[in-house]
Parts: sequence; C-alpha cells; structure tokens
Amino acid sequence: MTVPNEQLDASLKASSDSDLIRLSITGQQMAFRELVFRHAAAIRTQLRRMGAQGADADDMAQEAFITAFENLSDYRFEGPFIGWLKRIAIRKYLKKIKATERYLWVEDMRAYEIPTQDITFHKSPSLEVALETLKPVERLCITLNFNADLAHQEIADELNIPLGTVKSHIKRALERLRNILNPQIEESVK
Amino acid sequence: MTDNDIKTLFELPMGFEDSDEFVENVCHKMTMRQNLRQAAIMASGGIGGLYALGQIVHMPKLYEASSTLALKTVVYNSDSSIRLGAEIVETLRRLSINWLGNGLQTLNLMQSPHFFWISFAVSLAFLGIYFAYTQEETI
Repeated sequence: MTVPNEQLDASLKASSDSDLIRLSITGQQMAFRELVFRHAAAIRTQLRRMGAQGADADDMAQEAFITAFENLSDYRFEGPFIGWLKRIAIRKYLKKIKATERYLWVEDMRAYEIPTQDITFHKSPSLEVALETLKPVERLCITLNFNADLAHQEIADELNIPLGTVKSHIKRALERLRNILNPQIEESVK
Repeated sequence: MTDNDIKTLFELPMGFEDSDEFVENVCHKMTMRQNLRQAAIMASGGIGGLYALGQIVHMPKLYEASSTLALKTVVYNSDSSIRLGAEIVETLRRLSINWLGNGLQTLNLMQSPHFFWISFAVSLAFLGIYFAYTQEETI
C-alpha cells in the first residue's frame, strides 16, 4: 500500500529534525528534502553574512547540505541539527578562502560587497548593509560569533589567529555595528 | 542598544525568493552524485569482472588458438552465421584481453606479490586521503 504524496508531505512537515534525520539515514530523500527546506535560509544567510557572494554562497550552501547528507550517520544528536549544518558550511567557506588566499586580510572591500539585487530583505534590512562596512576579517569574526554561536577560542582555532586578535576584531565590529544600527535596532525592538 | 539586540538581528534569516529552486538544486545534485557513484561502482565492477574473466580464459593453449582467429572445435560443424558470430565474439574477447592484460607478461606481473602489495598500499592511501578529506568538513 502506498502513502499519497500530500499525506507524506504533511507527515514530514510535522516531524522533528531528529525524526527526519533518522528517516534520511535510511535513504528517504524526501525526508532530507524537508530538512533542506527548513534550514536553507539560515545557511544561505550565514554564508552571505560571512562574506560569500550570491552565487558562491548558494553553491557552498548546496555543497554543505550534500556533505551533511553523505555524513548523516556521523551526526550524534548532541546539539541542534542547524548547528551541525552551520559548522559544515563554515568549514567549506573557510577552506575556500584559505585555498584562494584572498578576502581575509585585505583592507579594500569594494570587490567583496554583497550583490543585493537577488535578495529580498524582510526583517533585518540594515544588518547586511552594516556588515558591508566592516573589514572582511571583522565581519567573519562577528558572524561566526553571533550567527554561528562559535566561542572566541573556537573562532581563533578555525581562523588560525590569536585569541586576543579575535576579541579585538569582534569588539571593533560591535562598536561599528552599534553606531550604524542604533536607530534601526530601537525601531525593531519596539 | 545591547549586544543581545544585535544578536537578535543576526538570528533573523534573510528572505529568499528562490527557496524552492534552491531545494530542487540540492536534490538534483544529490541524485546526480548518487547516480555517478553507482555508475563508477558498476564500471569498476565490470572492468574487474572482465579482468578476472580474462585471467581465467587467458590460458596459454586457448591463447594460442585464439591467435589464429579460428575456434575450429566450436564452429567445425556449424553454419556460416554461427561461425561469423563466434569469430566476432572471439575477436572481442581477444581485444579486451589484450587491452586489459597487454599480454601474459603483464598478467604475470599483476599476479606477483609485489604488485599486490603496491596496489594495496596505493588503495589504502587513497582511502585514507578520502576519509581525511570527508572528516575535515564534518564535526
């Protein structure tokens, strides 16, 4: 007896991430498809905020999901699935920028501005604009800290830079974001 | 205006108009990779099978007979079409064996313990590199 598609979709939508992961491990691609649908925006957003540009960010996000699917049996259910996904995406991005040896240490940021024409900003229109004004390494540190929930020491390890440098990058980035976002934050908090 | 306010902003994902397309792309790539992997496994299985068959069939007497392009014992009492088919099969068999083994010398070399250990070590090294590469990207 086969289950109708609508019924299957509804059942998958109602399932928790853990259930979907277990189903995906048994080879049910529809279950993983639902996971992709749930978390795609978060991963794409994170990569863009880290500094990846539109098409590149999407390619890396797709690769991150495929890597996750192929290594689902390694996921230990110890934290939220999105956290594990974010780590995979971070590794992919850092690997790319380390391989090309570009982006991180440059002062001139004009070449790395995010193209915004293909993105619809809904709730945080000013954050992306504010991030564009940061130095690439500051932007990376603050995003890893605030968006990916990495501790300062973890960021230092990932970027292979001293802990003190990470802290000063985050401090400077926060000051700059506060200056730019001040009016918008007050509005969004209200 | 606190750090928490900024963190709240970070927690809000952007809106994307092409969400469905993105999901389709991921699924398409996943399917493509699975198909490619299965094709690679099938191809390597086929090549390995042919090679093994070549080793079994490639006996010295049979090889000598095949070099004359005549399976006389098989087609002796058959009509011309069967003979032609047998010759084509034989030619194909011979070509594949020549291609795979490049003669008995290569086969002998490939059956030697040295060749086994070298290929085993190379395979292990590739496996190790692949494993390290995949582990690097996952936690």
